[in-house]
Amino acid sequence: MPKSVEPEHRGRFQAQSDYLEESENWAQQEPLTARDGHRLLTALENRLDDKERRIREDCFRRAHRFIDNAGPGGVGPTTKGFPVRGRHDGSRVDIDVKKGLAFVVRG
Amino acid sequence: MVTNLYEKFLEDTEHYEQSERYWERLWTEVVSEAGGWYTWLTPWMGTGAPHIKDGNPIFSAISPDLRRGVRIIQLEPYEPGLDFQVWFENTEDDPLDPENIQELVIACVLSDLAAAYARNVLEPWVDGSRILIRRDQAGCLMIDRAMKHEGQLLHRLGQAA
Repeated sequence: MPKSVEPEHRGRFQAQSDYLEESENWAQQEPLTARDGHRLLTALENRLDDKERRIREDCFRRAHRFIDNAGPGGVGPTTKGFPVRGRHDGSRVDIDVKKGLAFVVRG
Repeated sequence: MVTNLYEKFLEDTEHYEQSERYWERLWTEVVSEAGGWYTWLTPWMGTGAPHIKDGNPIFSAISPDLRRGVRIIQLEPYEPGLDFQVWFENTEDDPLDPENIQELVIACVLSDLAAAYARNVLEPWVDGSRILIRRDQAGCLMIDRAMKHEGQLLHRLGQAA
C-alpha cells in the first residue's frame, strides 16, 4: 500500500449557529487559490436555505472581501469569524486556514 | 451608558495598537487573578499575514495544558449600545481528536461594558472551570460557572441586555 501523503494546505469554510453547521473543506498539496476560495465559499452559501443565506449575506460579503484583500502571497494559518451583527445565536461564517497557505493569486 | 473605545481602530494605526494593548492588559489581569493553575501562551494565532490589521482576531491565547484557546474579534461599531457575542468553537471537525482545541470566541465592539463582560467570561475559562453560556427568556446573557476545584458550585457572573 502506498503511504498516504499529508496535505500541505488545508482548511475549511463554515456557516454556523447554535442550530446549524455546514462546511466546505480543502486539503491539497498546492496552496488554495483566491479563485478556488471564492468558489468554495459560494458553494457553501448555495447549500444554505434562503433564510440562513439571507441572515448571513453580510458575513459572506466580508468573507469574500477578506479573500480579495489577502494579497498575492495569500495568508497563512488563521481563523476568521464573521458574525451576524445584532444576533446572539452564534450565527456566523468562519474561514479556517489550518495549514499552509490559502487565497494565493496565480498569474 | 456604554462608552466605546478606539472606535477608529480599522482606520487609525494608533487606535489599533491601543486596542491590542488594551486586550493584552485585560488578559494579564485575568490570568494573574486566576492564580496560575495553568500555562497560557499568547499570541496563539495571527490575522493571516502581518499586513492584515482587521482585528480578527485582535487577541488570542492557548493553554496546551487545558487544550483550550481564546480568540477575541474586535468589531467596528454597528449600532448604539452593547455589542457583545460569545460562542465556543472546536479547531478540529472531531472534538475528540487529540489535536482539538476548544476555543472561547468573543466578538465585540470594544467598550467599557464589553470589556467587563469579556472579563467575566474569560475568568472561569482560564482557570479550567466549565462554563455554560446561554440566554434567558428575556434575552439576557447568562454565564454559569462550575468551579473545577470546588465541585458543582454555580455562580451567575453577568447579565447583559
